[in-house]
Formats: sequence, C-alpha cells, structure tokens
Amino acid sequence: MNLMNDEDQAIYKIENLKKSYRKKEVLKNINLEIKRGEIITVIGKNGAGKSTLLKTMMGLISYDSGSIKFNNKEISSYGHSLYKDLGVILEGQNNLYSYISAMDNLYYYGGLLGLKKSEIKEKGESLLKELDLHEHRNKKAGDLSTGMKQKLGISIALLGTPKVLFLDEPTLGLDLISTKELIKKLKGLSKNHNISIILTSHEVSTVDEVSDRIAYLNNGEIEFCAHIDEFKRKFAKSKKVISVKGLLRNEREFISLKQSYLNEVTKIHIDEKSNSNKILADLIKYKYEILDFSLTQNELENAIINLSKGENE
Amino acid sequence: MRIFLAECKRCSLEIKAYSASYISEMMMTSIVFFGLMKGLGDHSKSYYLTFIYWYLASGIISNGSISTSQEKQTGTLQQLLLKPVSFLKIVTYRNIYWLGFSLFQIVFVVLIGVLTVDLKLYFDIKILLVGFSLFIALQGLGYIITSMTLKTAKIGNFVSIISYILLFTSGGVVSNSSLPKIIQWINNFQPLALAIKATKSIIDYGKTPTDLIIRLIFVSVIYLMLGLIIYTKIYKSGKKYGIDNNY
Repeated sequence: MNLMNDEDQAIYKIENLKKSYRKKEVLKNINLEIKRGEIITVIGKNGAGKSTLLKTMMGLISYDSGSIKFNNKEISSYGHSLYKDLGVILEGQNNLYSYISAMDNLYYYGGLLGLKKSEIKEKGESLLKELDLHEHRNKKAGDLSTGMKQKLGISIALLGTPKVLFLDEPTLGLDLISTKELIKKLKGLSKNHNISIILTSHEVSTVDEVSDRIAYLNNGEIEFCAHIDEFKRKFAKSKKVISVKGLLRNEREFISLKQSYLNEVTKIHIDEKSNSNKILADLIKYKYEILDFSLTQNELENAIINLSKGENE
Repeated sequence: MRIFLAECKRCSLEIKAYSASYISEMMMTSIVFFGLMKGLGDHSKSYYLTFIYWYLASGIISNGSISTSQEKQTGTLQQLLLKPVSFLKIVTYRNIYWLGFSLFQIVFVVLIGVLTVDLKLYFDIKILLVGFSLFIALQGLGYIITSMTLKTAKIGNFVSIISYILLFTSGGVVSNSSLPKIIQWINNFQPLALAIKATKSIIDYGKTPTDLIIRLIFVSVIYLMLGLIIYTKIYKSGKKYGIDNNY
C-alpha cells in the first residue's frame, strides 16, 4: 500500500546528474528533488551552472550521466509530450514575436499546444486581465514595455496546464507593483493549483518573498539546498547598527569599530564578537546623541554573501 | 491541423508586418523575369515554368534561413523547441506555407506578363508530376538550410548568393550545354536542374522524358532524406552543446 500522498511525491527527481561541455564539467553529481506545488529558487554566481541545470531539466540539452525523472519517468522517454506539462520562460521578453500583437502571440503559442481558438481566447484574455495587460492585448509585442513583455511571456507559459513552471529571472525589468503582483500570482499558482515553480533570480527580495526552498549552486555542484528559513538561519549572521549624530571623536573605545559617515550621521556596524551594550554605554558616557539602534537578523542577502564568502576563504 | 493553421497565421502576420519588403521583392522579381524574357535570357515556351521553379527554390532557401536566423537571435527558437510539437513539424508546415506564398507571388508576376506582354502559358499535365517531385526536393532543401541556420545564423547572409547561383546554373536562364562541364555533371543530381530539363523536354519538344522524371523523383527523395538526416544530426548536436543563439 502506498502511504505517500500524491503531493508528497517529487515531480522532479534528479540523481547523480553530470554534464560536460567539451571536457569542462558544468554539472557535477547533482542530486535534487522538487515536490509538487513548491517554489524552489536556484541561486549562484554567474557561470555556476544554473542555466545548464534548468535547460537539462527541461530536456533542452542532454546530459552525460545520471537521471532526471519527471513524474517518476525518465524525461528522455517523454519526447515532445514532456512540454505539455512544462511552462517555460527562459529569457523573459525574448519569447515573443515582436511584430505581432500580444493576443496573436497567445493564439500562436496556444495553437502549438493544440488548443482551440475559443479556448485560447477565453484563457488568454483571463490571464491578460489577471496580469493587468488586457487593455494592451492588441498592441504589438515589440511595442510593449519590458515589464509588459515579461507578463505576456508568463501568460504564454500558463496557457496550457503546466505542472511545472520554469522561470529565468521572472521579475527582471518589472516595477515594484508588478513584481509584487507577480509574486502573489506565482504563490497562488503554487498553493492553489499545485504547480511547482523552479526559478532563477538575482533579485534577493523576490527570492526571499517567493521561495519555499533555495538551492545554492556553486561551480556545478549544489552546495546547499534547504527551506529558505533554514538557509537564512544557517548562513545569515545577525547585524547590529547604532546611528549617532555627527562624527565620532577619536576615543580609544571606538577606534577598532567599523563605521560609515553620511549626511552628518555615523553608523557603527557591530559584529558578533563586539559587545553592543558596552558600546552603547560608552557612547552615552561621551555624550553622543544616539539616533537609532537596529538589529537585523537572518537576512537572505546576508546569508548569500556569507555563503559565497565562505567559499572564497 | 491547429498547429498548421497557427503557423500559417503567424507567417501571414509576418508578411503583413513586413509587407513593404515583400512588395519590393515582387517588383524585383518582375524586373528579373521580364528582363530575362525580353533580353539575353531564355526565350523558350517553357521559360515561365522554369522561372517559377527557381523562384520557389529561392523562396524556400531565403525564408527557411531568414526566419530561423531571426528566431535564433530573438530567442523564440528556444520556445519552439520547448513545445509539445516537434520543431521539424513546424519547419515542414513553414516550408509548405512559404512555398505556397512564393507560388502566389510568382503567379501574380506571370499574370502581369499575360496581361501586359502577351505571355503565352504552355502547359502539360505531366508538369504536375515534375512539380510535385520538385516540391519533395525543396522540402529537403528547406530542412538542409534550416539545419545549417540552426548551426550558424550567418547562413542568412549567403542565401541570395545561393539563390542566384541556382538561377544561372540550373539550365533555365543559361542553357545547360553552355555551362561549364563540372556544373553540367552536377546538374545530373541537382533537382532544380533536372526539373527544368524535364520541363523543357515536355513543353518545348513535346516529349515524355520518363528516365529524366524517374531520376528527378529519385534525386528528390534523396534530397528529402538528406535534409532529414542533416536536421537530425544538427538537432542532436544542439541538444548536446546547446543551441548557439549568437549571430
């Protein structure tokens, strides 16, 4: 009896995946499972192998050894039918025919999915409405703004009934409000429609808001893959900052502290080894005007920086 | 069928978007057609048919290469490779569409000839067999050109050269016997040259060149198979190393 419910099963299961380009090992023994309905972000420096990993998972490029299973079946056994279940935006705005309208782009790509014209019209218009693009549906794709092109690309990716969405830098070029809307939309797709979303992004706030898990790829290897909170707990160090009015005089208690000065405010950055209470007491003793004392904890950006610093050291 | 219709609609919208370019291309074709007909070119009864053959070949070479080259550069090619329909099927439908469109264009030019310079249209039912065989060969040629463009988008720069080489070396405009020996020999295996030779024999001399038609059918099938083999090889190589989107 299978006690595992459908949602617990991995939609993607990658084992010992290796890929080389002309003797250069780009992916080294990758092991990764992606659950149904989860949002996972692959992060890493440029050239870490993120695009190769994603393209290999999509079947766009072949791999040398290991296995990639989609729905418990090797992806190579699907042929083109694999793409009925995948929605892909590789480079956002570059997925469109610029000389035809937004709606005609939807008709074309929907046609390639084998959808009826009426189905495309109904679903396409509803997607455009959701992404606040409906009034621009008759504009040529080339005349749309970067953000609008990105949204149109996402509408196209959602035209079929994908089980997995691959998004490469989905919020690139989007304004703040559009980014928030998109994040909400992605979360909705994951939670309400059980769509797994695999994305890459360099925008830390997006990664922080949208991801359930993070896979950190370095030099072709997944160095760390965990829930975002665990990732932050493990790698982000808490940081304390005291802001005081004016410049610090050269009191010996403060000489060794890391500080920055801007707009008549000195910010004292306190590391984990220093005693913030003592510094505060000293500042009061020397009659400095304390403007602010802030504590930042578990920031994703901080975690990513610390993790990459760790590699370099 | 939906996929074919989707591809046809997209190609039609492409023509609409770049209509000025297609109109100037038709004007250029008219100048070449009438220039060769009235000037130094071929004055035989079959001339208009051999010109149609060349124009169809030229159309498939340029459109096959240019659209794939553009798609590589804009990134839409990768999207097409990620659809539940094979790219080969899309290319096939695209070739059929562009052949149809080129036929429409050249028939329009020929009709201008009928109306203005009293061009006579000689025809024989056997021409349909020649035309169909050539259609098979042109599909193969389309696959070869598209595959080569998948490998390097720079192929798009050479299509008009290839096109005009075909015009002057296939035995239509310049008679086969006036061509260099090596080209005459190559023309024994070149489907456009074989189709022109067969058409001249049928229309100009009233013969039924069975051996030539059989050779044309055979060569056309070889071209089709060669196109499919080259496409498969380049597609597989693209999967191994990734499609190079650089121009």
